[in-house]
Amino acid sequence: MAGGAVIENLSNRKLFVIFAALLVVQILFFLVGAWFAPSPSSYMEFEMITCRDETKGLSGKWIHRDNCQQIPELSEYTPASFDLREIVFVAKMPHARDGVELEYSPWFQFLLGVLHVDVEYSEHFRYVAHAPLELEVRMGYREKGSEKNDWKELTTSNVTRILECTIPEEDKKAGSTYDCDMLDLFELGSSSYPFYLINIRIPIDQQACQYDPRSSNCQIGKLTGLRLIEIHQNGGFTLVWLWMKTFMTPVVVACLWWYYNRINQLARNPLLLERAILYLGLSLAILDFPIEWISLTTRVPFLLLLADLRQGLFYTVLFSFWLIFAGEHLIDDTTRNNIKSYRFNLSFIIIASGALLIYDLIERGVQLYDPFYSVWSSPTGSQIAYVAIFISAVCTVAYFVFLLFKIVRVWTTIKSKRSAQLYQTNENRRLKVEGVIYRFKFLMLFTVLCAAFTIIAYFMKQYGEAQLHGDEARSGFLTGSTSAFFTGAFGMCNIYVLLLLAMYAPSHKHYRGAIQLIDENDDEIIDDPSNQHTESNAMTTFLKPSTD
Amino acid sequence: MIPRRINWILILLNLIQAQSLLDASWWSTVAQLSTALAGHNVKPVCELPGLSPGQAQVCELFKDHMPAVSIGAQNAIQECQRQFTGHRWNCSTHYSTGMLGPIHKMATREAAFTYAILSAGVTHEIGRRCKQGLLTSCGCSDEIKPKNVPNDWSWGGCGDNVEYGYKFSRDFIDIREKEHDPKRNHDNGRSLMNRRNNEAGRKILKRHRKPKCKCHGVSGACNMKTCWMQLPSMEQVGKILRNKYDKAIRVQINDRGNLQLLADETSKERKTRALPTDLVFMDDSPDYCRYDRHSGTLGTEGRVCKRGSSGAEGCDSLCCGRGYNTYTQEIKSKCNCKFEWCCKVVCQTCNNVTQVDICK
Repeated sequence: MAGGAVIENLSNRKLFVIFAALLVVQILFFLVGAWFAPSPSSYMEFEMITCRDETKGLSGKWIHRDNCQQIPELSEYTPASFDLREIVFVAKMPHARDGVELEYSPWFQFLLGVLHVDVEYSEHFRYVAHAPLELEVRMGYREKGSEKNDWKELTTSNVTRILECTIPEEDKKAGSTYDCDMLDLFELGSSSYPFYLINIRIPIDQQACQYDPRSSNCQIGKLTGLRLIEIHQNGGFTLVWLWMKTFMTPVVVACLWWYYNRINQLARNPLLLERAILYLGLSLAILDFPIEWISLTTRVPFLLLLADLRQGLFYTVLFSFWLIFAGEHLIDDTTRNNIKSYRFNLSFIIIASGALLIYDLIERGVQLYDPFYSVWSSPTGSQIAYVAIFISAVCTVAYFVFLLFKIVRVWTTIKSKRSAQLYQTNENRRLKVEGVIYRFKFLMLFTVLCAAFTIIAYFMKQYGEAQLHGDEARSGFLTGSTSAFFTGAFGMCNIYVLLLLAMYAPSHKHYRGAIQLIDENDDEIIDDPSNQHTESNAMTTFLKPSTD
Repeated sequence: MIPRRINWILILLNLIQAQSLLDASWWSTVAQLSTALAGHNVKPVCELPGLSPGQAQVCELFKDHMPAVSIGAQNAIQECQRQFTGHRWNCSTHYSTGMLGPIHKMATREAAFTYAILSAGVTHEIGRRCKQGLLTSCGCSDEIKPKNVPNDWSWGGCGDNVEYGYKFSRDFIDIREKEHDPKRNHDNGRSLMNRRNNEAGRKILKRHRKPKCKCHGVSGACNMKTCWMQLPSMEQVGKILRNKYDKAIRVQINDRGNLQLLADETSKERKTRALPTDLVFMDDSPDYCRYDRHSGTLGTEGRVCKRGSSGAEGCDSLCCGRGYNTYTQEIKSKCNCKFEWCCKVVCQTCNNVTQVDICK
C-alpha cells in the first residue's frame, strides 16, 4: 500500500491554508462564469417562408428571399402539381437585425437545427399518429465577401423523421393546432460560414399514398408551416471557456510532470493507485487542452465529436480511479495492487463507455458527412441507440452499486479494525493502518463535498433557467448561473484532480530511498526523525475522536 | 368570410362616411392597413383616419410593421368572433359599413375583451414577422460584453422576438390612450381602462408562452440545454381571455385619477387587488338586443339561432323574446369523393336541405 503520501505529512495549518486557497480559486472560477461569460448558448427562431418554384427544384437554383414568389397562405394556395415539390420552405440564417446583416462566426463552435412542424386539425387531411415525414433538404452557404445571393451547396439530403403530434379530444375542430414534438434537423460541428440557406420541399407521392397510407408524407395532416430553431454556442462563452482551458492546461501539465517525477524517483515500481492517479491527471490534461483555438482559423467539423470523446475518456478514467481507490484501501485484501483483480468491476465501466462510444461515433461520426443524419430517424438506428444507451445505463448503475458495496466494505473493515484494536499492539503497524484510513476518509469526504457542490450548482442552474422563463426576464444573480455552472464545474474538476495529484503523491520525507514495497517496510516510520509529532498532524487529530 | 378584395373596396367606400359615426372603432382602420399598403399607388397610408397623431408618427417610422399590425388585428377579431359565436354580442361589426372591428362606445366587459385580444394579436403577429425575417428592426439582446468585442450578437446571441413585439405593440397601441386629442372628448378613466386591458392582453400572451428545450451535451445528454419560448396560438389566447372576460373586474376612477376596484355585491369573496392580467371594465353591458347607434350596439335581428337550445345561442335568449322566422336552406357540398388514377379527385355535389332559424 502506498504509505506516506504527502497528505499524511501535512500539518493542520497547512492543510487548512491549502483548502482555503482552493476554495477561493473555486469561487473565482464560478465568478468568471457569472460575471464575464454570457449564457453558454442561444437560439434564433426562423419561421420558414413559403415560395413557389415552378421548376420543382429541377433547375437546381436556390430559392431565397429575393427570388421568392411568396405564397402568403398555404391553405389557400392551389398547387399546379400533385407532388407539391413546387412549394419550397425557405429560411436564411441568421436573420438581419436592426438593419445589419448578422453573421455566424467560428466562435459559435457548432450549429444545431431543430424543426417545429405546425399541423392544423382538419377533417380532410387527417394526421395519423407516428406519421413518417420526409423532407428534401438542401443547405447552402455563402462566404463573407461573395455576392448577395451566390449560394454554394453544402449538402443535400433526404431526411425522414417521425412526426409525433397530440391534440386534446375536445379541441378536435377545424382551426385547432396540434402540439407536435420538435424534430432534430441538422447538426454542424463547426460554424465556419457566415450565412446559410435552407430549402425544404415536402414531396407527396399520391400513388404511393393510395397503395400504402403509411408511406412518407401521406398522413402528416394539414401542415400550415415550418419553424426552424437554430442553436449555437455564444461567442462570449467560447472566449471565456477557451481562455480558461488555456490557463489551466500548463498548470495541469506542470503538476502532472511533478507527480511523474515523484513516482519515478521512487526506488520501487509505482503502485497501481499511483499509476491510476497519473492516468487521471493525464486524461484531465487531454480534456483541458484547448485544441478549439484552431477552429477559429480552420474548418474542423470533428471538434464536437472530439469534445465528446475527451469527456468520455475523462469520466471513464475517473470512475475507474474511484473503484481502484476504494479497492486499494481494503486493508486485509491480499489481491491488491493488481489491475487484474478489478477486471470484473472495471468491465462495467468499459462496457458502459464502449456502448456510449459506439452511439456517439454513429451519431456524430456520420454527421461529419451528412449533417442531417440522425441515428434516431430510422427504426434500426433508434433500436441500436436505445440498446446502447440502455446497456450503458445498466452498467453504470451496476458500477455504482459495486462501488457502494466496496466503500461499505472498506468502512466495515475500518470499523472492525478499530474495535478489535489489534493493530494497537504495534505502534508502526498502527500508524500505517491509521494512514490508510485517513487517506481513504479524506478522499471520501472531498469527493462527497465536490459531488455536493456540483449538485447544488446544478440545481442553482436549473433555478436560474426557470427564472429566465418567468413572465419578466429578470436579470438577477442566478440568471447568469448557467455559465457559472459550467465554469464552476470545470474548475471543480481541475481542482479535484490537481489536489489528488498533489496530496497523494508519495512524500519524499520518508520514502525517497525506499527500495522495497512499503508493506514489508515496517520500521521506516519510526526511524524517520521528521515524524516525531512535533507539530499537530492533520491525520492524528482527524483520527483522534475515533481512536481514543 | 367576405373575400378580402370586396371587403377592401367596401372599406374604402365607407371610410369617410363611417368616420363621423364611429370614432371608437379605430381598430378597423388598423385592420385595413395591409390592404392599403399592398398597392403602391395608394396615398400615404399613415394618414388614414382613425390613427391618432402619435400613431401616425409611429406608422411613418415603421411602415414595414403595418401589414403585421393589420394582420394581427384581423386574426384577433377572427378569434374574438369565434369565441363569441352564438352570443348576443358576437364581436361583429356594422353590416352596412363592412368595418372589421367591433365598436365600443361604453366601457363594458366586451370593450375590455376586444382591446385585450387586439393588442395580443398585434404582439403575436409582430413576433411572427420577426421570425420570418420580414422586419428589419427586431433588436438584439443587451448582453453585457467587453468593449473590444465588436459584435454583441456574436458575444451573447440575439434577443427574444416576443419582447420586441411586446414593446412595439405597447408603443403603437397605447400611445393613443396617452394623447390628448382635441377631436375626441377625452375621458381619462376610459384611457386608463383601455391601457390596462391592452397590457393584460399582451401579458397573457407573454405569460402563456411555453418553454421548449433541446439537450445538446455530450452524446446529447442534458448538461447542455437551450430553451426557447413558444408563443401560444391566438386560439389559446382567445380561450384564456374568454375566461378572463367572465371574471372581469369592475373599476371606477377615483379622485386622484387612478383606477380603483369596486366592491362587487354579487360575489361573496371581496377582491382587493386585480392582477395585471385581469380585464377591467367600468360600465354595465347593454343587453345587445336592439340596434342602438348611440351605444354602438348592432342588435340581434337577422342572427341565426338554435331552436330549443337553452344556451346563449338558443332562439329564446338570442332573439330577446322577439321570436324568429324559419327558412329552409339548401347547401351544396362535395361528397362521395373518389380518387382517380392518376392524380385526380372527383366528387359529386350533394344537396343538403336544412332549416335555419333567424331572429326577427
